[in-house]
Amino acid sequence: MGIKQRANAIRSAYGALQALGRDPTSLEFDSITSPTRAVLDGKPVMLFGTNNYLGLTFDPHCIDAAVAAVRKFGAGTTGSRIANGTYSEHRLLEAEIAAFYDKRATILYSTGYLANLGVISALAEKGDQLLIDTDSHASIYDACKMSDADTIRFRHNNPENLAKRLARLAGTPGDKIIVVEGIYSMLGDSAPLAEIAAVKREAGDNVYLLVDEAHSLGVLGETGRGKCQADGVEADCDYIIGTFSKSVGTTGGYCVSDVEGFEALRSYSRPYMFTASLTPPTVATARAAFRRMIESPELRERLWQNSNRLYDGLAGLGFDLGPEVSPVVAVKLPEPKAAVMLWNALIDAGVYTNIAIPPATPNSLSLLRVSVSAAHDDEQIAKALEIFAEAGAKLGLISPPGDAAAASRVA
Amino acid sequence: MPEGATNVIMEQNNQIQTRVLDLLCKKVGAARLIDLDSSVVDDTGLDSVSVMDFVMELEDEFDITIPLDQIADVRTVGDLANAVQARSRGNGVAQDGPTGEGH
Ligand SMILES: Cc1ncc(COP(=O)(O)O)c(C=O)c1O
Repeated sequence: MGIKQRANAIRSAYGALQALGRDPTSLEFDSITSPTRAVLDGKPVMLFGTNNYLGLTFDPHCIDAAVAAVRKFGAGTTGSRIANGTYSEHRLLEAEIAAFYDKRATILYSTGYLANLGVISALAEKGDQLLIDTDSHASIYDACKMSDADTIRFRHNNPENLAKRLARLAGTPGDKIIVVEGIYSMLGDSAPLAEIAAVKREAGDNVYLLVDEAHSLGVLGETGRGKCQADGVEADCDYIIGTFSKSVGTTGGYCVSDVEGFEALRSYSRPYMFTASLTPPTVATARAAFRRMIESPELRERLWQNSNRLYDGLAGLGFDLGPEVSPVVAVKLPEPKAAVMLWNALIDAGVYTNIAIPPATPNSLSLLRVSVSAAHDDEQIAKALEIFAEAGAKLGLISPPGDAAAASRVA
Repeated sequence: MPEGATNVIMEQNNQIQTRVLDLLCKKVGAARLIDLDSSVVDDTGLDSVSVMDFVMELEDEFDITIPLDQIADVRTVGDLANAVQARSRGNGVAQDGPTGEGH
């Protein structure tokens, strides 16, 4: 397909949906006033479509640290870590993250996307095999494309299916790297890591496990280290990927590992070598945010209270939700048009969520991805549920307001 | 290769083609007419993710491994059957090495 034909194909694929209201790809926030409030195209909204799980984007410690760093080190590093962009603060942040996980080493990347790209493509070479969950994030798929290894998909959250695929590869040369996520970004379901780690152990020495904890850092585990910690299998998780763009409230990514020789990646992982390093205020923000995460476990508690409240409330209203309670609450809708209409109606009434439609979703699902923050207060959640009830009933997606109001009171 | 062996292989290719076609028809429904020359994407109504999912079904059906980069070269249903054939083991069908491709 040529450039022009492709542009036309995209236009016609999405044009009909955009005609139903706003264009999700060109939405603009005029201002953001807190982790949970913003003005969107002139209209005040409550934010239920961020990944701001701990609400740290406006944390005074984080902001002060960023301001101090920008004054002390300047606005940017103007270079890559390898060429001219390693500052002492990068090293300090890496050491702090390694200490947080109690692992040997951390390598920073400029985003979580680049961390997946950089780590996966560097670890898996020609003759190796990558075994990835079907619901993996785009950055994992792109990393596999960039790698010369064979990529094999296994059924979502299905350790038996993974074992079967590993068994087919038994006796073949090359390392096998299993790639999963702690919490999956679209449906909010989490990986059965104890079972997956057991499959990995059974499969032999040259089998490794990489876990992308993008949505589970600061969310799961006794000290917020993620699903690996929650399931007690950190020793089996050879590589843990994380991002600063969700719980940490800024941008950036990293990989932590105990594997011998891991830091060799600094010399051949191209997304580490050939892009500018994290800016000083970003690094300072991340350092402050990790400290906040460690010192304030009550944020995680609050996040889970809010998640439960929103999930139970939406379930009570009769919405079809993702399989488990999590800070990502996926509302499943019958088709893209219904998702677009509900999404627009919610914004009209003051609730901002994310829309996700095929092919960005697993199993051709049409979803509203609603995300919860520790910074939401009870009143905001109650109000959001009210708005969901009204909009859902008006569009005929749930039963009429009488029943719905009753359901939201129960929640 | 002796003539008998060639016949066995051809017979098996036909069986694989038939099974791949049957499975695909089941997946896309009766409304579409599909044969070996049909384009896996354009003629089936499947999006790119559904094609990957179908390949995963084939892996389980035939107990084989078809890496993703091999699908990139697949255009027709016949190409897909060839990819399956190239990866099938046993029963007198020569097994390709890890980089073997059926096209
Ligand atoms: C599972 C997963 N991995 C990686 C990323 C990429 O993270 P970042 O936003 O830091 O590039 C995301 C988020 O977009 C994600 O959901």
